[in-house]
Amino acid sequence: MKRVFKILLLVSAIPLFAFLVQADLSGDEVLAKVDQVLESQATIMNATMTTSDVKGNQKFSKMIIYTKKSANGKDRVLIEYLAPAADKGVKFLSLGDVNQIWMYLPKVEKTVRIAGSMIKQSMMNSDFSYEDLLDRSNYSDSYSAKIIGRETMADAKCYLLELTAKKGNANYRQIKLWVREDNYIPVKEEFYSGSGSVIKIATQSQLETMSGRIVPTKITFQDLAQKGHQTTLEINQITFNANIPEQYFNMRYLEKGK
Amino acid sequence: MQMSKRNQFLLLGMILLIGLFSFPGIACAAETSYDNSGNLTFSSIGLAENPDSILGAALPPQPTLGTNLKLTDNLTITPDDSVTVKLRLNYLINTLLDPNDTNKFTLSRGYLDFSPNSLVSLRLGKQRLAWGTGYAWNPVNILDEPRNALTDNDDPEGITALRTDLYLGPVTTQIIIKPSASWESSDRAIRFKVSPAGFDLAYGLIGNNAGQTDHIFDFAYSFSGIGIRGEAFYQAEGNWRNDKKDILNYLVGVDYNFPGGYYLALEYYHNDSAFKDIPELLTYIAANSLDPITANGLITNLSNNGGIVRDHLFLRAMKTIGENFNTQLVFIYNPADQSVVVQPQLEYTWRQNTTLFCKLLYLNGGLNSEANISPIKSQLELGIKVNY
Repeated sequence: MKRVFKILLLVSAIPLFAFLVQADLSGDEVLAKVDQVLESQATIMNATMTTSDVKGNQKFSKMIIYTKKSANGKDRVLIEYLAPAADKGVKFLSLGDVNQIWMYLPKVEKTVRIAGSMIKQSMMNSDFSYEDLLDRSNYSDSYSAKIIGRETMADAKCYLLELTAKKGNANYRQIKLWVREDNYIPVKEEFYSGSGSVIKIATQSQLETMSGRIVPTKITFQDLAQKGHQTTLEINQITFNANIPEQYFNMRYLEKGK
Repeated sequence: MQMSKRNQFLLLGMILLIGLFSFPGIACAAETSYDNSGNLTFSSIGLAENPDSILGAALPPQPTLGTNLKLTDNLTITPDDSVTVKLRLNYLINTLLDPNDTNKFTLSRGYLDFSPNSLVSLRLGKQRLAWGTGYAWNPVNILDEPRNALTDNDDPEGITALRTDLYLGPVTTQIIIKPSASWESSDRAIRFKVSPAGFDLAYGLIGNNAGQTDHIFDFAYSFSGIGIRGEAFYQAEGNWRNDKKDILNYLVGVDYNFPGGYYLALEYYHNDSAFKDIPELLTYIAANSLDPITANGLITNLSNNGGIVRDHLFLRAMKTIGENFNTQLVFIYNPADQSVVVQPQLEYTWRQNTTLFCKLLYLNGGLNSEANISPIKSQLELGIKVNY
């Protein structure tokens, strides 16, 4: 996969009953299953983000994340920071396109369009980039997959998929994705640069039932360029197919919160 | 005609009271929610006067050491989904300011926002419009109080105004009335904003209190990862000293995020409404209204009095180091007189809510240059800011 957020939804979209193991699936078919369980028209998630450095210093952020598909199938995202005090009220709005992202700064009551180059930068000093959290396109849209092995990961039998970018503008050139055979929930991802080296690692754990689905409530993300640094996203509450008003994804709501 | 601060305050109070009691149940609604946040900043400042200042010594003379204590509190009251009352209170003690002005309480925001449906909202009271896309300057944002070009989250006082936002299809329309003693002397404005295909575009007309019509335009766009923005203000046959001339103020800027967490912003600002002849400025006002914290008061006040000059180039570079350090360098250059303002800054954030900061300000320029006007040559500020 690519972004944590996606993983989240992915995972979360899994019904309580497990899928039957289909040993003869191709890589693309497994990836389609992953996308299927990800499917959700609208999701509300309360999460706590913890970043920690090599010295053990930790920072906490609390946020609420709204996602909803537009009429043309684009995934729109609204993120609002609830804590810490210095960031409270900061909001990000993505309309499903890297050129359609804005940030609202409550101190100066101003909305700023984010330059495209920021999309790959660290978001609020975490291991997530803006792209990781705001770009929610399906895996199958951006990557082709082949099964390159089967491994046991986190006490579960997993497919090991190698995802290769179909288009040049995919977030990562290549991804290795470990997917549980029983429910198609991703367990681990390794993200590769164009030169073939691992640049980020994500792991998903602590499966719980929330809003009627199995959800990995803990996602750990490591940007290997920041030695000893990692970010953990813990889901406190999640609601699938939530009734999110359309107005949440416009400039008015970004600036006024209503 | 400009309203005095006292009258503005009284007007604001009346507006808020009328607003509160115009909506039945607002003040005592059971579901009313409150949100309070703010910060406290304390700093020590040392400065060196400019012996070459062409304005001479400031009146009264500036002390060379001082302290600054500022408390900012934001209170948001939401009686129901359609109504919000927002107050931002500032309390400032600054021993470097005029002795008559060291202890200052201000209400920088105080408005009632009423949004009865998804198509319209009304905002009445002291507020900021924050027009424009420029980082350092906003030539289109002429109804607000000027913002400090050296401080990214500077928070000037709001203006007392009635604002209507209409959300009709893809177009957001703002209608503003900034009242004065009479309708003729009040500022009126209308501004349209759209965001087609990755652009943010806005165009507006302002009927100002001198009976003229100003045109404003701004845009923002992201091209190949580069943020591109611009603004323009145009006034035909505007007042320029004792003469009439067309005035065009504009800004163009770019910003980019480089790998490794480096951020760079560059802006060019042309100001047609400036005087060319500095010695004819209202020197007394300029010298005594300086904001010794940033020296930007110089630029602001000269600008207000038509004194800021010609063109400016602004550069801001930022880099976060590790988990706690943030560094920043701001550089302002006036190509006409070769004067520069340089402000390096280092911040250390501890436990997320406490920031220690160190800012150095240095101005340099030749005879009759912009920097040559300032009674301050350099300044060092050490401080602590606590958010709650």
